[in-house]
Amino acid sequence: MGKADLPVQLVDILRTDFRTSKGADTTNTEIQRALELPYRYHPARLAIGLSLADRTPPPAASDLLGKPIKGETLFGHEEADLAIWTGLLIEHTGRSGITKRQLQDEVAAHWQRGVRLLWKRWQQHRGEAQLFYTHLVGAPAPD
Amino acid sequence: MTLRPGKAIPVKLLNVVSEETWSAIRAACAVRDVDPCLLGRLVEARIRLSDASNRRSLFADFDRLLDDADAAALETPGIVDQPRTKGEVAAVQLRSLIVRNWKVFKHAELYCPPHDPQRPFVLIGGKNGSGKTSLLEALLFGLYGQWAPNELFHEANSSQTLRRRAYRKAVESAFHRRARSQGETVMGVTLSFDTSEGPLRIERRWYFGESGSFIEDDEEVILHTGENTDILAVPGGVAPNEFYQDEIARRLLPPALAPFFFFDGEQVTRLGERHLSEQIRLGGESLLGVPVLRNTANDLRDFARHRLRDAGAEKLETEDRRTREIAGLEGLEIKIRERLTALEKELSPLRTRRDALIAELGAIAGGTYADLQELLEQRKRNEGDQTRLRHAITSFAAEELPLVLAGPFLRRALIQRLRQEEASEIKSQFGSQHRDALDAFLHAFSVQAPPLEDDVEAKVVERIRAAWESWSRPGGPEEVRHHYLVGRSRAGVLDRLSQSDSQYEANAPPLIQELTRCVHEHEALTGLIGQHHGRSERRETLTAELNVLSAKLEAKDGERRQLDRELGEIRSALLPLREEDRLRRQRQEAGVPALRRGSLALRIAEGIEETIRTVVPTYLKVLAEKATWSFRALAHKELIEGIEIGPDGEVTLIDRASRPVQDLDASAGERHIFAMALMAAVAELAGCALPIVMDTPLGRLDSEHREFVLRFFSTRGNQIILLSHPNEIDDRYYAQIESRIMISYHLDHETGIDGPGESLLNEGYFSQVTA
Repeated sequence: MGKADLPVQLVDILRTDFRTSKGADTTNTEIQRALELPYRYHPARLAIGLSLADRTPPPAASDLLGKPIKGETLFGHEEADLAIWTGLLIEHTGRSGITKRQLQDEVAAHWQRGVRLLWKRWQQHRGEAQLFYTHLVGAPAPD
Repeated sequence: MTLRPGKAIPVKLLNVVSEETWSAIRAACAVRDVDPCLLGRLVEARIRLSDASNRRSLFADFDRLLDDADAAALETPGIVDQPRTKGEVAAVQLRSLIVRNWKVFKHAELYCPPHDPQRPFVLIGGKNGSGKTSLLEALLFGLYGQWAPNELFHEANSSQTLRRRAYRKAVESAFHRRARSQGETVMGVTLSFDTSEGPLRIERRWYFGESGSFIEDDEEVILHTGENTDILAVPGGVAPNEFYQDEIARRLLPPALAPFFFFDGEQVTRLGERHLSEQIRLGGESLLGVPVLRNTANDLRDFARHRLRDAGAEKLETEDRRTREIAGLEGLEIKIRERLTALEKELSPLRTRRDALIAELGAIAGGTYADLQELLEQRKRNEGDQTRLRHAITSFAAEELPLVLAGPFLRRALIQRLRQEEASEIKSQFGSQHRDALDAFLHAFSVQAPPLEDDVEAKVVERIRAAWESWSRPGGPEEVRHHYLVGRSRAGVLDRLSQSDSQYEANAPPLIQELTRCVHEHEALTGLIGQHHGRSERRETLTAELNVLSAKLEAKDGERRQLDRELGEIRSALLPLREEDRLRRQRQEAGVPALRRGSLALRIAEGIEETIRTVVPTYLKVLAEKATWSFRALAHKELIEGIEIGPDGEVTLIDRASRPVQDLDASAGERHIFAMALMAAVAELAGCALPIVMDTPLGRLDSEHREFVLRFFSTRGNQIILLSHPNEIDDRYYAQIESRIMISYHLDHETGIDGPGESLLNEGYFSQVTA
């Protein structure tokens, strides 16, 4: 049994690259610009968070050709930050013994689904960041 | 008092006083409160008494007329108030010209029968060098002596000294050579005219020394008048030659006008080129009687000076100065008032516009520059706030919002799971850590009374041990989902998860609300600033216009204030002057007749002077019309539409497009015609049918022009003395005018052996022509 098959440990996540599909990554960049967010991980976190609200499992990412973000960047380098994100992602799967590879796939899938949802929200409140943020929380995801 | 018809030069004066001119006299009199008839009477007196030995009688007449101005006017109310009427022309004609030792003539006599307008031509034929021009010069020198027209012997504008020298030279060269060589000392010209004042004979003699040099002081001119040819008496204190020259000018023609009546065809075009404006101006003045009027004015001023001095009045200069000063100030006052009226008209619309601008500017509310600056500052602060809020929101968006977004369901599921795993871990640890306590517990159980059956007790202990083991056994891989979290880590996660909502709720909404408020405020501020800019642009436009308008108004107002000040000053100055004037008049009315006469004479003198200033340009205008008419009658070309004459006599030809024609030099014939047209116009305006003497007038002209000229002059009523070359009036033209010739002569020239020869004047034109 190789390491990749072992349940994931927080320390592994720190240096792990996370990606989504190329299309989702492009949308991620557009949202970053639209919301004038300084880093790529900002829309990525929002996207993953938004996707996690949907209890259904996200469809697998169409590819993994998006630009990578290190785990410590994507989730934060504090143990608590890493732990909470890992906890939510693993809890969402409803499974135990999630490996690092599986976690990477989960992140890719949530990122892809979430970024599309974000883009739809943004289209609804084009140009008005404050409205976007106001309506982001608790509002049903647009179809 | 009545005018003597024969003496009354007002006939001549009247002949040239057109309606316009007379209006000028009346206007000049009206503003001075002078009866124009009185003015006419004074002029008449001056003319009538100009040959008096001194001016005492003239001044006495002035006294009488001025004393009884009203009565004098009533006596002959129409004296000057008669515009010129046609048919009133006074014919002047040459009756004889006798020369002695003049140029090529040892002696020659030309007689003309009484003038008949149907037969106006006196034809004198002569070949080149036979003396035609000498006859013309005899006429001019005989009439005017050294005042003969400039072109004859000297350059225009030359000094008196040069003029006299040239005259001397001309006279000496005119002296018949043979006569001089024979020791004769006298050269003479005698002219006889019929004039409106009766027969006039002029005798002029030039005397020469033995060497043939002209003795200037001995030049003699004598006038004989009347049927008995009495010598005209020279007033005392007046130089005879000067007096006689004045009389010649008055009774016949002033020298200034001579070139328009007596001209050399060879030189006539010079009239169209040189001295023309001076000739026209002087000629015009003479025709208008301006010299007479001017002399009258001068005499009136002298008279006034005498009378005022006699009356012991203030000095004439003071009187005169005050009169002029009042007139000048009144003139200024009128001008200023006219300008003020015009200014008010200009100012009125400017003020209306200014008020409208100010009203509109006032209606543009709120909007100072400071207000705009405040708005801009507010917006800048707002933008700073927005940036700060966005950073804060972004931070939340990165840290807390994703956890919030993940939703309460997942968060609760995770919390539950973690707590389960925590409990499981605790139980597991408790089971292993507290096994001794279980043993102690079971020991205590076994010693309890009453004792149980052994097998029962063994089964119970067995069951308790099995339950303990089962309870304290940790979960397998299926149960432990978040194995990477233990102890403190799990507690931290649980803390964050349970707090994330409240953390977000506590911080994010206020930030977002604040941002929303800022955004709305920004929009409002931008709107206000936009409005402000819009208003500013309008305000700037209005302000710019207002500034320009204000500057204009200020300038015009400044001018108005200045004019008001000047008007005030003028009125202040006029007040004492008028008062003085009133007092002076009162004194006069109170019986200081000399004073009254003196000041009245001054006013009349001013009236005359103003009339002169008015009538000359009027005359020139009429002259231009006449000249245009004559020119168009004479010229076959139709290039020239008209002739214009400026205030100083300068002549301009105007084409059909009202443009000045510059290329008159193109044709000598045209120049000739132009000069003739001017002459004809002046002659016509002269109002008296003076003889016209033309020396070879047709030489430069083509046949058509010759016919025009002959026809034109033959119908004008003047006596026409035509000095002609046989080729000029040849059989064709002779036939044309034969029936209109009063008398004809021809000159026969005999070439001398030792000199220029001698000419004889014989009756009859050339035999080959008349045959």
